[in-house]
Amino acid sequence: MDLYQQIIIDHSKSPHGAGLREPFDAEVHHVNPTCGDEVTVRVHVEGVGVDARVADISYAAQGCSISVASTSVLAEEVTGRPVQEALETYAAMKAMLTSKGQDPGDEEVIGDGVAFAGVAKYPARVKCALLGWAAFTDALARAGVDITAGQADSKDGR
Amino acid sequence: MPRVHAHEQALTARLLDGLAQRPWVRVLGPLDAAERGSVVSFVVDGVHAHDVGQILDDLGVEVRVGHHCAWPLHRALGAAATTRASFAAYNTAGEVDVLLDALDRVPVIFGLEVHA
Repeated sequence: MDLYQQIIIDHSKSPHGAGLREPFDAEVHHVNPTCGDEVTVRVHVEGVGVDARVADISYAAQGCSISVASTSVLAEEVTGRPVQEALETYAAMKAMLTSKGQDPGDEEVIGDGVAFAGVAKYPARVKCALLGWAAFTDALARAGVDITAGQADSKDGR
Repeated sequence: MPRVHAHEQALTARLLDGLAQRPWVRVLGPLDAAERGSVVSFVVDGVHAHDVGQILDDLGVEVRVGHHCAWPLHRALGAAATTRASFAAYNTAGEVDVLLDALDRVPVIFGLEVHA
C-alpha cells in the first residue's frame, strides 16, 4: 500500500526533536476527538517582524503513525526557519493533503512532507497528518504572530 | 436464533484462538467465546488502532477502530484506541482466517519484532 512509506514509519518510530523544552512563548494542546490522537506543541520565536524565526518547536505526540510522523516532519522542516517560510510550508502541506491526490507536493518546500502525498487519498486520515501542523500555527498565533498576514508579524507586533 | 448464536460463537472462538497464537495481540475482555458476544476488541502493542484498521481495510477486512464511544473505558483499560471485529450470521470461518492473515501484515509493515 502506498500510504505507509518507510519514511513515515521511520519518523513515527523516532520522532525528530520530540519532547517538551524551554524556553517557549506559547504552548497548545490539540486533540482529535474522533480517534483520540493528542499533541502538545510549544513554540519559541526569536526576532521581530520579517526577521522573526522559529527558534524551537518541541512537542509530545500520542497517536497513530501518521500523526506522530507528520509532527516529526514539522519539527524537522520548520525549526530554525523564518516564521514566514514556516507558514508557507504549512500552506503547501495543507494544500497537498487536501488535494485528494491531485497535488504531489513540492519537496523543495515541504521536504519529507512529500511522503504524506498518499494520505490525501484517505479522507479520514488527512486530519491525522494535519494535527501537529494546526497546533503549531495555533501556537504561533498565541505567541503573537499574525498567521493570517502575508507578511508575518513579530510576537511583539500586535 | 439459537443457530445464529451458535454460528457467531464458533466464529468468535476461531478468532480468539487465532489471536491467542499471536502474543503481540492483546484481547480486551474474556478469552472464552462463551462469555462474550460476537464482538472482539484488541490492541497490537506499539501500533495505533487506526494504523491496524488501515492495513486490514487495504486487504478487504472491515473492522471498526477507535474508542467506540467508550473513551473512559479505554482509558481504564490502558488502551488509547482498539481495533474491533464483529461477526454476524453472514460471516464465515474463512473470513476469520482472512482477518488473521491480514493482521499478520501489521508487524511486518511496522517492523515489530514478534515472537510467535
